[in-house]
Amino acid sequence: MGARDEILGKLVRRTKGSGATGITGHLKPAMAMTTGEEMVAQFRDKAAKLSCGLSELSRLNEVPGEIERVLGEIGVEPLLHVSNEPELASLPWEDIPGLRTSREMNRDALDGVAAVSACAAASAETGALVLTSDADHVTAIAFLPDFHFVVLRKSQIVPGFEGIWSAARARGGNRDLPRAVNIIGGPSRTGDIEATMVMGAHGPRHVHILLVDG
Amino acid sequence: MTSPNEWHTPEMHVTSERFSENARHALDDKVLQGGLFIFAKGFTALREIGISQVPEFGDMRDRARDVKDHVLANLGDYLEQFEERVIANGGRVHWARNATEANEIIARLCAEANAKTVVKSKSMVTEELELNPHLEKQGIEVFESDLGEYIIQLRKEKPFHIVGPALHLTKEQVSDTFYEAHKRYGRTEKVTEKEALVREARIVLRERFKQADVGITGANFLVAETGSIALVTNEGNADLSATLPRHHIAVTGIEKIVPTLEDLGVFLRLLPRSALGLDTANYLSLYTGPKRDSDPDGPETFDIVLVDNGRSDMLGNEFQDMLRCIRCGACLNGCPVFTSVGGQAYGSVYSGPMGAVWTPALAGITHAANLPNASTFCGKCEEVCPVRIPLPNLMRHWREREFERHYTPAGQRWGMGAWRWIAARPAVYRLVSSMGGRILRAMAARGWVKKLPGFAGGWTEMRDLKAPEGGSFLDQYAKGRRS
Amino acid sequence: MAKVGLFVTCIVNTMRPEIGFASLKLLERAGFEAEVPRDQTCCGQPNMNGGDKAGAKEFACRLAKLYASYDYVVAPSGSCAGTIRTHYPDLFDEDDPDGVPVKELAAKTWELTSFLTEVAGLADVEASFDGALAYHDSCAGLRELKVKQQPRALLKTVRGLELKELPDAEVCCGFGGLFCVKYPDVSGEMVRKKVADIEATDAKAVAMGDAGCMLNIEGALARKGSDIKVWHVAEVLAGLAK
Repeated sequence: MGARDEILGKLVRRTKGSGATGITGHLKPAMAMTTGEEMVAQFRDKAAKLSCGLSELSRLNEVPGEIERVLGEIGVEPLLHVSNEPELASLPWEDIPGLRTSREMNRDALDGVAAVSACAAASAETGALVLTSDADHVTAIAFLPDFHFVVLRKSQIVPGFEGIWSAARARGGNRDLPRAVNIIGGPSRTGDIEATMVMGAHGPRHVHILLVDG
Repeated sequence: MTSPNEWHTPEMHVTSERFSENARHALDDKVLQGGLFIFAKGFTALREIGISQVPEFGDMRDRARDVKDHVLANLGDYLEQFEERVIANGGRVHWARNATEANEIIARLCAEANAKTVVKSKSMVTEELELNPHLEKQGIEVFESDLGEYIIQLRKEKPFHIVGPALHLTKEQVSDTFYEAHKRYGRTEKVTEKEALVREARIVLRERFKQADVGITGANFLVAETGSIALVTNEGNADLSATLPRHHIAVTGIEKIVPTLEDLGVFLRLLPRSALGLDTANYLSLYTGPKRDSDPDGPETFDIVLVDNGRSDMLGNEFQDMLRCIRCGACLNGCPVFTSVGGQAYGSVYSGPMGAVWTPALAGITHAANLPNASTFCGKCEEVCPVRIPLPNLMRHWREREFERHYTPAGQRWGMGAWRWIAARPAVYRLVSSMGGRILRAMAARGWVKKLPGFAGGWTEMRDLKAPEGGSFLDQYAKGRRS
Repeated sequence: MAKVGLFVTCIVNTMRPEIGFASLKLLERAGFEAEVPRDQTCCGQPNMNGGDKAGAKEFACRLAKLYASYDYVVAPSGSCAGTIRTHYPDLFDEDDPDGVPVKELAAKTWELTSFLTEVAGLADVEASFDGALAYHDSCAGLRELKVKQQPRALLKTVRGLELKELPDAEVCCGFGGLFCVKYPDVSGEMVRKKVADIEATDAKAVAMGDAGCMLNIEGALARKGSDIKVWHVAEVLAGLAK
């Protein structure tokens, strides 16, 4: 008998197949149940607490100009790797003369650069962004660049984890979930040396949210 | 197979026999004592502030306990469901009865991938298995990528704390370690500041992530309904390990399963708050199967190694509650013993109260008897546990097992037997307590005893003993005193 | 009138009999007739925590029989009361007939300050104390029996007493029964921190609810040459802390 059957056999013997009833009804804290403007306001607060940058825009078309402005502000070369997601592809990147863009998404191209992607959702409970893998979304875009810009529409904000799961399942199509669901709570950090928080451990040093109406 | 129980014999090497000696060294180590202060004061305060903002925290803990109890009562069913979903998503599941099997499986998977280098994110299970030396023996280079794990790997130490493996070290010690270790990459500048040290590790490890053939991660949770693994980190190293290399292997214990995504939410709310008082960790990720045909990136293979290594032995008996543990570290941070001596004194990868219960299960009570005994039963660990594990009771159960098997030190065993005999005979009890008082009075100088003989000498090593002033209460009471 | 059986505990009996008499005085002030059965011995905690479960059951059965005729059992100790109230029932299987009287005992057993506030409703202890007093929460009372506000509520009624909160009042002092002699270095470090906290309050006295913690803390203070006094909360409440 192989390891699998022996382990499973032992588990059945030890638990006597008790078949206790499942846990029903789910417990949501109040902070995961806000709605409307209150939910958006909570998202802003929580995202700021996670050290995310945030720009509020009324239209998607303002995204390229705003990114150029932010890059200028932090003094970074205005070269931006733009993810292949359709909502980004149609933006007027060429209208911003000071901003150069690239569609290269391989690991060497993304290493240490500035990049922008869309997202699947964001959570007002924690201020985190939800990114999911698909044909147009490279998972590594959230981890290899130094500067990660994320375009988020207000309608994508969900109250909490429960909403994240629904959004992620919706992205998975007829499968359960996309291969990768990354819930990102701001720039990478570590407290591993003398328990002092230092930003930019392995992932981006800056995460900047472009929050767009609609 | 010589006996039906032989296959599951758990394997973990410990030096817990030397707890007292290790503890003494730790108490003399000024640098370490400074670091421990952070846990005792800082982490405990962070947790309290974090949970004070969630009025439902207590209910969430009850829910988490109930979910885990339900899972443990049906563990086989959920593991089979998980396995079925992993396979449906194109992954593979491997089952390991003990450390030897787990290490062999992982080494075989690495060989199939022609792996020269492996990058790892922090996994306590692989520490428990002593996986790294096993892979290194096969000629594979292994790089830990969690900053703390990377530091202790370079220093060839065991983790100091399940959440902060290198928090016993100063930045100067890390600086020396990096300087020596990074020469091979042509890095000759010695950096000393914390930010610079983090940057240094990032630069060196970024190349390892890009070159590695295999990424090995643990899994904080397994989701049965989707066949996903959940990874929780602040650095992002687990995600790089699960994304860049062509092969991803996740190694985890069989107890880590939760039924649904909704259940997972309960634990994701509890874990970062219990560990560091945070609303969320930086990176909470779910990975389900290998790269799909349309995906632009991700690993080509996705292998899960489910490790038993003594866990099934804790099921269905007085230790089952321990299998609810989510490795948040709150019981370590709250423990007055841990915060006095640090993790390394325990001589096991699992330290503090949770380690005092896990270690005997994994290494055998004969090797780890010190750990469940080195507790005052103050109960702080149970008070802070997010899944309400009655840790002092479980340590007491280990003491019971020790007693049943006659491992309890002979002197203590004899003492308890004698005490039982005396306490059943009230006249003898009264005589013994009166005599005890009289002896102490005789030994005292100006009311204080400065040195006690034998076993009781442990008392006067550290403190005096105030001798009783009058006769025993029962003697005075018998003579009619009432107030 | 309800009858109270006082369980004085081994440490009080041998080492600090005054605590037992202070307890009798407080129970009387609260309007209860209290007595100490001549044949009381130990609750068996050393055996229970040492892994001798069969021995611990024997202690439990003996105590249940001895205190069967009382309406309440009160102990000036969170540790011993906790053993009886929270741990005794766990020693017996659901269907063990020996467990029945033990569970009855557990249900009527109280730590002294809880009993005085929650059962007796004592509003004022009518005692006085001169000056500042720090208070240490002994672990078993705090966590097994939720003794936290009860002693404070009573101490507030003591004339002239200024209560000083310790920064880590809920952190263990390192006594832990056999722990302090089996692991003297670790225990010594724990009590060192506790004593440093007490000294930092500038109170000239500290009170607590367990005689074990008292022996530990007063012994460590004495070793340092400190003249800070250590009292059992019962002694302060009974006006015997001078």
